[in-house]
Amino acid sequence: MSASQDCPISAVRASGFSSRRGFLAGLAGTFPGLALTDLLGRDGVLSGGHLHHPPRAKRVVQLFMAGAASHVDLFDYKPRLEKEHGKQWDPGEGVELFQSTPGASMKSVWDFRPHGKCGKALSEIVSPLGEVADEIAFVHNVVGKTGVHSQGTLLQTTGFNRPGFPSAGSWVSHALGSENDNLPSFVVLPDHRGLASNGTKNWSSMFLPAEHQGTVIRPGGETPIDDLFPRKNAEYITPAADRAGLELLGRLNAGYAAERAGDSRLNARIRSYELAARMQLSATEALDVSKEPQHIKDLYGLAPEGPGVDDTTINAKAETEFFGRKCLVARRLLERGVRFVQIWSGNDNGFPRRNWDSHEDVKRDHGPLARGMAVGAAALIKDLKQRGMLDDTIILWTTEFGRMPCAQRGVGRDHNPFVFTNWLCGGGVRGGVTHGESDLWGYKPLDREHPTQVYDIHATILHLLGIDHERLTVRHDSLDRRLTDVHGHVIREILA
Amino acid sequence: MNRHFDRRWPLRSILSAFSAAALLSGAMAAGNPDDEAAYFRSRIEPLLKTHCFECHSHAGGKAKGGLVLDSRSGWTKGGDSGPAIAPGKPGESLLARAIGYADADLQMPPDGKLPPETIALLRDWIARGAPDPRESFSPEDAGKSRPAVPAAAELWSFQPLKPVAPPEVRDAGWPRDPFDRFLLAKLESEGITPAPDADAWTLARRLYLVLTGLPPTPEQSDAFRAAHERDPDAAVADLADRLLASPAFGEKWARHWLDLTAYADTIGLGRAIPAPEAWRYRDYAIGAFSGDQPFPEFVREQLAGDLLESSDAAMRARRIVATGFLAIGPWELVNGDKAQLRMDVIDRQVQRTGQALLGMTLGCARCHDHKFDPVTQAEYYGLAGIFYSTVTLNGRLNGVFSAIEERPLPETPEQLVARAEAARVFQKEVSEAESRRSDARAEAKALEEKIAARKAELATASTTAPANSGAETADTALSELQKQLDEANGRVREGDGRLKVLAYLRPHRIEALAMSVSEMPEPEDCRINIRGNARQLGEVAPRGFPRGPAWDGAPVAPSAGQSGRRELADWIVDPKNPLAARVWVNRVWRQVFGEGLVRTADNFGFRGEAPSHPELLDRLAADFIADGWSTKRLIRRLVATRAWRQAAVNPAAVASGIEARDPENRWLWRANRRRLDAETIRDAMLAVSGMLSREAGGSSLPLEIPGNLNTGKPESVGDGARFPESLSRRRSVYLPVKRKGPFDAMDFLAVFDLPDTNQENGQRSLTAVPTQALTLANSPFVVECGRALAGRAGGGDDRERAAALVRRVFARPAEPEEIDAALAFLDELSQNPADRPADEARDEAWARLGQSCLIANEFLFRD
Repeated sequence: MSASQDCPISAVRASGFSSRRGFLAGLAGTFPGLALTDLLGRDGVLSGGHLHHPPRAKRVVQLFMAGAASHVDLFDYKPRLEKEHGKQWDPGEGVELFQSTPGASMKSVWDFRPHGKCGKALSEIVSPLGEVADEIAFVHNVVGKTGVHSQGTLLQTTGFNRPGFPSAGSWVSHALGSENDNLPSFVVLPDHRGLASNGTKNWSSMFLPAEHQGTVIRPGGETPIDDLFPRKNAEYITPAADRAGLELLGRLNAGYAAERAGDSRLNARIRSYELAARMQLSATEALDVSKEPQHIKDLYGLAPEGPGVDDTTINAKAETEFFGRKCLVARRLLERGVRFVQIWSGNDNGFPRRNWDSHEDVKRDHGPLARGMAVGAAALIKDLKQRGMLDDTIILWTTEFGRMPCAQRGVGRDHNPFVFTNWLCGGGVRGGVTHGESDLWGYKPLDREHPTQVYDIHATILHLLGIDHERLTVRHDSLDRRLTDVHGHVIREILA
Repeated sequence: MNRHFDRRWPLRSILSAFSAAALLSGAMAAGNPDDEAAYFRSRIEPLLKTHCFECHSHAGGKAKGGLVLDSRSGWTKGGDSGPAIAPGKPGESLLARAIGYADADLQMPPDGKLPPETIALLRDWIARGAPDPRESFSPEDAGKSRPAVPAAAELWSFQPLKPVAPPEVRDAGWPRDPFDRFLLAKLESEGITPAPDADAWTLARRLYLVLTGLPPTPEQSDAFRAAHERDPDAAVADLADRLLASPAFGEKWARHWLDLTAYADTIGLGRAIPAPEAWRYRDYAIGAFSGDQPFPEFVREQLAGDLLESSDAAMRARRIVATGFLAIGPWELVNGDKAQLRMDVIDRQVQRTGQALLGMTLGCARCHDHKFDPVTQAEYYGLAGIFYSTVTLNGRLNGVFSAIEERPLPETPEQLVARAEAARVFQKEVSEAESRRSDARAEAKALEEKIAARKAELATASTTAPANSGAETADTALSELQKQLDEANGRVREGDGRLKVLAYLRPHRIEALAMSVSEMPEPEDCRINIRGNARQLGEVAPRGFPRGPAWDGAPVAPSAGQSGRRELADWIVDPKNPLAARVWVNRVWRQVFGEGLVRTADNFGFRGEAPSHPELLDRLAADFIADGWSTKRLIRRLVATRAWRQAAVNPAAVASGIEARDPENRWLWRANRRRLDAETIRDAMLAVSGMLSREAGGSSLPLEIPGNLNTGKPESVGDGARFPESLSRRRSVYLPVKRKGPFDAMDFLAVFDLPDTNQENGQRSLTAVPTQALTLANSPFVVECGRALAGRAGGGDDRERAAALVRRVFARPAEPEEIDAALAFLDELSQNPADRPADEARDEAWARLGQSCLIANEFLFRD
């Protein structure tokens, strides 16, 4: 064990690496019984050769557009809406909207044009993704269950539209464990302006072991990880005091455990400090993008001003900095063995709007958010590819539901839980394909009998990770629970 | 494990597999169609039903991969991958390939390979040409093919209580209570000697923490130790009495109850819509435990308090508040599908009632009959009908948002006087806000006029001197006026926002309201929701109670003309109901002993665990009922048992190899060491550092603090809401709970396994994860406690102060070596920094000493 790994809890910030042997190094030999990795969940229930079949991918990035991104303005081209633009929309059946009555048909706010060898038509606002269109599989017939943000969001993050179930990231962490001794296996990068609907429930481990809970990191924030270090205003906490305090703690705990032999929980708690200390070093290093070369920073669209870029009025430059930075940090975390990264664009309801819930004005909110997302996501795909990591990293783009083909008060759109778009790429996904279509307007699936559901998306991702979604179960409340409940089919059409 | 195995491979099917294999190994001639049919019916069909039908039949409701196996045509046509069976050719049959598990992509059944005998049987059947008389699917077969759920008569928890006399024990001097004899008899039969009694320090800390959630002060430990030396039994009994009578008892024990009700101070998981009156229910629960309300009354009030006769305003108010049990939950008020929203609310009421009071997982029967327990979908909707005839949501908060039912509470004359005064103060606040806003408006108007005048002046000037076209931007007087106008307009907007907030708060200030339920004017039975879909309705399910836990003379349905809540409560707490008392005494036992006799405290069904000491459980339940359902008296008895007073280590038993035979201490050969729960850790830190506020009760939501409420409609409270300083020092039970995750200022508890605020939960987990280490080491809260603790270590020299500190934190005298270590630590730290005054360095050292003790395992665990 190197000295740098021994450095206890707060010494890092003030003094960099410590050359002094920490008390934990001394203790580490005292309790050989408990593997440190137990605390991180390094060993998943399927790791070590217990996968159900050979995997194509090892890790996952979930890009989540909070507020419900409009498929018809971004990815799902509907010429019919151009023809009928401005005329009363009539899909030939009753339409029940969330908070309005159906207005006129509304064409995409931006023009579509074809991209890549596959010729996929994409909206001008997400054109940066055009350069990687041949890597992406689009699924345009995803259906939800409700037009309620909280329920729709939970359905996409946990596979259930009611609370109480583990996040997909927790399931993957539980199954595969971590590839890194020093970082959590499931990391969440929320929008810095606030958590989306459901808040922390979107990455909760619920009935899975607690170490599979998503760890929140706020790249660019003053405290990227809660309590990773003492608060800045606590200046009296010097590294020396910190180290000595923890040494004392180590002695206290060792004495207590010695009289209570065989209680692994006591050792686990002692080890948790060692792990926390390692996390301080590893996380600090992983989050530091300052050493990235300029061309990489440019690729991700980072602003010269950094995270402090002005967004008093929503604008593309700031949104690109926010989303791009999270994508870059995600890449660094993936390189270091993090298994599942969940990246959020947009907060919960609030004004001024900083999410995708464009009831009032699609152009105003979707414009900057979509551009920022497209720059960041395209950069992530290209960057992973040039590092040879796209082959075994799955990227999933999702949102809680879509938006209506008709206008709400002229330039906004209401919720559409009946159809929306997901896209996937990398990690064994076949690029340049479109699977499943929506109808002429993007109102419902073209084939209403065979839509794609979140279960199918989750089943496909697990499949690519080497997991049979029907066999990854955990007994809870007397039932063998699955991420995919009692549903789900692998979408073989989008497998490479 | 055995249980699981039995379920998967029913003995019957294994036997039939063997006998059929034996038959086949002989020369079994193919031919006669009747024989073939009989062969299929007796040998093959049961295997398909057991292993395949769940996912591949009409009865199972599923055709995975498009394949059904409940008719010949089902497998002839096959699924997405084509015909499942090629008659006569096992080698070419997908089904044979799937059960053979050779192909990684096609393995059936998915949860594990079949036993070789079964595979052999199915392959032989295919080899014989796959005779199958089932031409097409018949519904009659469907009825028979559902894997049978064992009958109610087979479930231990549905059987009547069978209290028996405590068994004889060899060591008659050990037991202090008849309960002890049940435990000791088991230990003696296993040849195990119980652990020695815990010492007085340990016992005092255990008593205080278990009964009140707060550790003893040094004076309290000393007093107990002195009493314990004189007479251990009397010392325990006396202290238990005193602690049970203290307000801290209700605060500690009500929190456990609140876990079972998914209590929170906000409503949905979307925006955090405040539940400004939820605190009344929290305070009700605290009062109920403090007042040792008999359990049946506690249940009746919560399910039907609004329907009970009350003798005065206070009782009436209490009983309306009690129905918060049903009224408070994670309702998605925003859901536009009101039929579904209503059924979602009812589902939680059914689930919660079942889980908290009956240990039944009734929610499993919402979409179909319960898969494991004898509960039909019709029984579920029979109960649902009771809540269907109850008003929980009422009207609209705003647009599509539903509103919760809030009822005015009757108040006592004194309360009415106070209420009138509060209303007067509130009205004054509103008037002041209004007058501030109209002042600002007037000011803005005057400024606008001035600006217009100035602009006109400039315009005149510019016509006379056309070169000066930028006059308006360059004019300092004008820009000053504009600045003042912006400020005035800002105050107008601020006033608008403030008045909106006040309008929202108005009903809660001028009236006493409670979240509660009430009766529908006309009770109505519920129709079965097919697959749980509120828009796909099946048969009417007459209102009724679950049939499984029945007894002679048990009512099966409420009488006409009312929802049935009151009768449901009566049915639950009927002394003959086998579940309510068992479930509750087991919960109490779990809180006291650290683990339940039934460890699955929320599930007494087939998939739950059986009790470790079934006779003891029945004795406890029977005695509890006989003793007037008094929770306090039950707790008092439990802490007086010899079993509870054991030490947490038992070297003799360990030496005899007990850990191999009973590693989880189910036989209670020692006390269970427990990590403190989230609230207890926080409360204990506040207590030993002298920072704990004993302020109690009342609303915890800081809705009055400007900026905390969004002024848009409907009001919601932000994640980053600010709280009054005083709240941060109160006991944790009084902190506000938010459904979508903790308020930023309140996340300490979540790190230490506070259960999900949207789930009823009677079995918290206690984990050790690195985020806890980070929180203990670095969170401002813990750092502050460490400093405060060091500050109150008292006078005297360093040695005395260190000893006092250790004693305060660990509730025992310090060992000399500990004091030496502490002093060495203080000296080392004080010498170190050259850049600060010596006394400051010394203070810092003390603060670190305090914090190190507070985060030590000895503090975070109790023996």
